[in-house]
Amino acid sequence: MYRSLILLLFIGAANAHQMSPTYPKWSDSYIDDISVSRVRVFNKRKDVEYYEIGVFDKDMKPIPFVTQYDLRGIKYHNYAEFTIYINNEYKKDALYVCSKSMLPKLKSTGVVSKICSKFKD
Amino acid sequence: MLKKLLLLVVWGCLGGYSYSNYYFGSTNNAVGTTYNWDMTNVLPDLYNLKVNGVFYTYTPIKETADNFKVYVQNKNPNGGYTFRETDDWSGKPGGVAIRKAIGFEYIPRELWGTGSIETEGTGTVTNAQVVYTYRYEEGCSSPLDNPNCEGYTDAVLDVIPDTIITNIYNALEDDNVKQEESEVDYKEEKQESEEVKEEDDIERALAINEEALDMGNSISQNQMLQQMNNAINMQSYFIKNIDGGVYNETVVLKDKNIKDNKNAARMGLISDALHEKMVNIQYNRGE
Amino acid sequence: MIKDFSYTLALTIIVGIISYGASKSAFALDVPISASVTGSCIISTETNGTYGQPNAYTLTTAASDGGQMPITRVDVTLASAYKVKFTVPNSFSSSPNLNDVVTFTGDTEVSAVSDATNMADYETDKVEVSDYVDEYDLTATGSTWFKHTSVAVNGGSRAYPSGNYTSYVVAECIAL
Repeated sequence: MYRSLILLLFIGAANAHQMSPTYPKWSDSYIDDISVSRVRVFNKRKDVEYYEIGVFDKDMKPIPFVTQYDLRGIKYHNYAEFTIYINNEYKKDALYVCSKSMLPKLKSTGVVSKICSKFKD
Repeated sequence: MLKKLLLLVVWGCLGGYSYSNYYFGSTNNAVGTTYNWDMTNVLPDLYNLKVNGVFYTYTPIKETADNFKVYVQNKNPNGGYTFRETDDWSGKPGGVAIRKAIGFEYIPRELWGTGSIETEGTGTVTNAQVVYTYRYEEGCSSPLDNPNCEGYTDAVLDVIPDTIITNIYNALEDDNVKQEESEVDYKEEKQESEEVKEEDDIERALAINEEALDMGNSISQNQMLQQMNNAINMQSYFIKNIDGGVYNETVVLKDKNIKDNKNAARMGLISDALHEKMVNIQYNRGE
Repeated sequence: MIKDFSYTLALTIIVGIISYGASKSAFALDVPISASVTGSCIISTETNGTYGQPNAYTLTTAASDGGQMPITRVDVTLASAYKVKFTVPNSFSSSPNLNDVVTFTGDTEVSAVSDATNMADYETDKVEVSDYVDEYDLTATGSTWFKHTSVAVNGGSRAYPSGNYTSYVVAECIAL
């Protein structure tokens, strides 16, 4: 008998935020001294339309980086790919890349979701 | 005999035709006041129903140090269990609910016996819910709903009457029609013979005429078609005249003469003279 | 005798060839099997919370007071690859002008798990980083539900001015 675990899709309309990969890697870009990495954010939250991306060190302090849109609109049931460029000088300190949902104002007790992937060599 | 023949025709027409409309649903909470339930009261009476998933939740009440196991299960009428899930809470704190959803291949309702939540050890279960998801097929509220239903053949035979009285009207045997037919036949025959004669005349004429050969000649026919195509005037599609008007010259020279530039003379003539001198030096020309 | 020798030699050669062939065909080939295992963490909001107002100066998510606790679900597909951190509200994200200091209290608790054996200890093993921040190591694959409570009491027990009040629970899933 084949058995599998279903993630409770019929319980209710869960709103989900997902980011991959868990462990992104830096690679050399076409510009000297600049490294590049990519993450993908999937929006399954009906109440969220925008996500913000950020790069942080081990203490969750922000690290300078460049991306085309650090605040990006992602429609419901869509995904977006963020390409992140960082100076090699900061690369050694950059430990996490996080995506955070931006909730509209005047929304009572919502949940801000933030998912952080970790850079590994 | 006719009845069997008709049935054969019906089967022939429906051969290979199959219903494949599946519908999905889920039950209410199977757990009532007790932790045992009869599946006949849980699963609806739908055609070809098969269960494909079980969801359950409950909250264990226990002390952390106690051993406690919970079994959520359905017996198999043929022995053993069709479904059995074990949660081991031994050494774990109680008070935290568990929610599980288990999916499997479609299992017919006949294999789903009594369901129950059993416990082993020290502790109790509260707020228990067990829900089954299933798939069923359309039809069979009556045997005639679709050919896959049980008793379909017998039901069709019951519908077809034993004796079939046919009263086919044959217009050709109607006296009134026969009379009219005879008059019409004469006129038609006369007309036909005249047409045949005319066709014969034409045929003979064409056979004599040389042009008939050309008409029968496929090559010459193609050539004629080609000439017809070429004769089509395509010019109107390519050439379009747009009325744009005329742009008149706006530059007007008042004096109608262009005077020499005196400044240029100083520069140009000097360089010309120098150039002339250089050329003459080459050819030893006299100045 | 020569004939016997020839037969023997031929047989020896044949056996030699066969054994040589067999030994040659018995070579080993290493076929590498590689895999790339990546996990994911999915944060879902099962229930958005609402504040109830049991009295003029208190806003609370308690159901008994007309509120609703927000519930977050975290799904992980790789064990011990993530930790989740929850920050309950310690201020309003938007509100009318308030003249008094509002005191916030709140907490996060495990509401339900999908694996009794491996997840039942999450609540006892959680790390309370601060009064508003709790951290859980997600050591097992599956789903975990978390409920969040939030109470905001206006200073001096003075009534809240009318208007919209919003606050957010921040749920962070951090790769280990």
